[in-house]
Amino acid sequence: MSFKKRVVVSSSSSTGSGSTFAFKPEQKIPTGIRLSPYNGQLLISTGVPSLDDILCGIPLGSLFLILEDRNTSYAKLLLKYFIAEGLAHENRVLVASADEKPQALVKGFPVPPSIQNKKISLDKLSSSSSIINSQQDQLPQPFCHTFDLTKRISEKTINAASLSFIDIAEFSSNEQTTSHNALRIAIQSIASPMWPISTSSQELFRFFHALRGLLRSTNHAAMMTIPAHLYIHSELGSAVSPSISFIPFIKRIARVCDAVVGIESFAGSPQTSNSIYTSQYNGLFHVHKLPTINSLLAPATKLSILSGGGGDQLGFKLRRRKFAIEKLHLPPEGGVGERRTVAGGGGSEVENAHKSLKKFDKGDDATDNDINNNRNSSIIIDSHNSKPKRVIGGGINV
Amino acid sequence: MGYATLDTALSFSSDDEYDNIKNIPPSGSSILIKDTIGAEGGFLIHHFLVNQLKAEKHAVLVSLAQTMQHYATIGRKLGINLQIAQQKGTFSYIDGLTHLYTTAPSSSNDSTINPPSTISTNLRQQSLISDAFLTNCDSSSSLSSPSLSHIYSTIKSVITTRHNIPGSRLALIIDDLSALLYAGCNVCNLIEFFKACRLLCQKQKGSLITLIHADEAMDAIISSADEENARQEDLFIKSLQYQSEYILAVRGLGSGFSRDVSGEITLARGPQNYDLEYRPTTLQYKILDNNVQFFARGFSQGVL
Repeated sequence: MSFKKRVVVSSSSSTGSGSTFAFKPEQKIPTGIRLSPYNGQLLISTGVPSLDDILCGIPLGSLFLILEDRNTSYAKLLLKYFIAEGLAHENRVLVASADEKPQALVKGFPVPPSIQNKKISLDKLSSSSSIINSQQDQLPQPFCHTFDLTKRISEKTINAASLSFIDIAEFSSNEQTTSHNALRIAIQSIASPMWPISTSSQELFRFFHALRGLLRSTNHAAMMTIPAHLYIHSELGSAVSPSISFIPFIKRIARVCDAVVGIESFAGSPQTSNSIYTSQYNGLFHVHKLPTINSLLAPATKLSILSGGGGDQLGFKLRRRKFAIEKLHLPPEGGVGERRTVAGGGGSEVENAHKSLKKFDKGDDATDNDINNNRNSSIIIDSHNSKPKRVIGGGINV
Repeated sequence: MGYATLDTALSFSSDDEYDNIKNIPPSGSSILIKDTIGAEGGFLIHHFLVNQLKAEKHAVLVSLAQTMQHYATIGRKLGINLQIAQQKGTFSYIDGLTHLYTTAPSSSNDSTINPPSTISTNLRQQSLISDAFLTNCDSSSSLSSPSLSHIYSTIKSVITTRHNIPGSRLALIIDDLSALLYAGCNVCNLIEFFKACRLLCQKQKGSLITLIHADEAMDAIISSADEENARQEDLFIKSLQYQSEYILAVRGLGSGFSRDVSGEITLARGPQNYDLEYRPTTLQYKILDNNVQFFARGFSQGVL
């Protein structure tokens, strides 16, 4: 207990035995955890491939904060993705919420195809052979699953998973386990008015600061959503978009989080947004802070294809089956309206031929393509996008 | 070395008696680093830490923002080994992140005699550090606002036991003093704390290096509770600025993000700075994997 030179037992393995959790080389890295190619940090997936690209994965031992959107629930969807990814990897998951029953939050999950397959194989296992199951085990687990938003997770999977719930309204402590499996902590709408405790700026900061200290030495990671827009002054609230530079309360919290992103949906935005954007995207995605643990430079500034260090404007779109974040760009010059006027007013022969050819090829899909493509686009591109419900360039697979 | 281009920009004049030492902050000085959320100033902490240890001088790092692992990993990239420096006795680490609020069974009998451990190479040792901050905390309410007097006594005991050597030119580095303000410490007490730390350093002919957060856009205010917070933060920043000789203000580019320029830094002169060789300037910088380049505005390699 003194300050004498201490013979440090584990000084030789300085990388492995630091305060950030690390696995010894002989130990197998559990599923769902990946080593960062940049600095060897252990990462877990958010469940959304494009968000994984922006952040380069969530480092274990870090805090990830999402500033919620106004009036819509896209942030909750991201949280669901995060939990579902944990269930798919059979990680331990802790869900806390005051706004709704955490159990209810889990029930509406998207489900990855691999879980469905696995369930089938387990059913078969009970009846016939064990070969199928062993084959399933040998398949390498992907870092990030592809989720289908149209399907709901089954009760059986929920019951089988190691989930812990904290309903803030009736708080009770949960059992502690020590395991190398990653623990995902998901907290919905922290510091919302539904939380019975007083959330002064100082107290909330202390909670985050203490949690950061707690997480750093473990293999846990926390994702939280916070209704940032509630903390804007009411007079300004209608005019100012929820950017953290305007909210001192949120800014202080953002300081202790490792990564901060903000979601701003067009539907909930008080500002009138351009219809060109609203037809393509559901809202804007702001990257305020990237995880920078154990390195000078955030790994994402080097590795991310999508954001490249937070420089580009990002938008997100929610389609029937998936949520994706993309670079925000205007649709090609000309757009929908201009094309229609040209086509309606007789147009040139080339234009008409173009249109008739498309109708011949795809029948009813032609109107759909009109929205997605400009008049300069060639027929070849049209035929690529011939499926009516297809998301163009949706997400980047990492 | 730290970031060579920053060394030339700062050009700390070396005292006569320590002529062989370069790039060490002048004795008794205080360096204040201000950063914004768009451009965080943590990279400057490493610069001063590396310079100090490369010159075989002493450094005490009080971290409220990161773990030891973080500093050690980056230190290795910049060419110093914190673990070895710790064993040699030139470096001490005080963990203010993981055990600032936690309440543990107080080992009161030995905590007064033995200063806290500063070595955090494994978890068991980390728990020893906790004793430092904790003995005064009442066990009933966890997450009460941190006790400044206790942090101070920890720092003092570390300095007097480990670094009370003539010619140590101790640098006390506080990573993120704002965290204490945000956690609910009284502003006046915090300013007193800063003064006391400064005095400790001056006794060792050392320097105090402090990182605080100073975001702009406070004018777009805000609810009444925020107003009080903003007023306090304003007072905090201004009084620290007034007491410091060198002010390094880091901020993002006004024109937005650029791939070639990470941000802008203003090297400013505090009110009591009589260093004639020091020329306040504004530079731009770019953070690389294991270095940071500083250059005059508009002279980025990517632009030219």
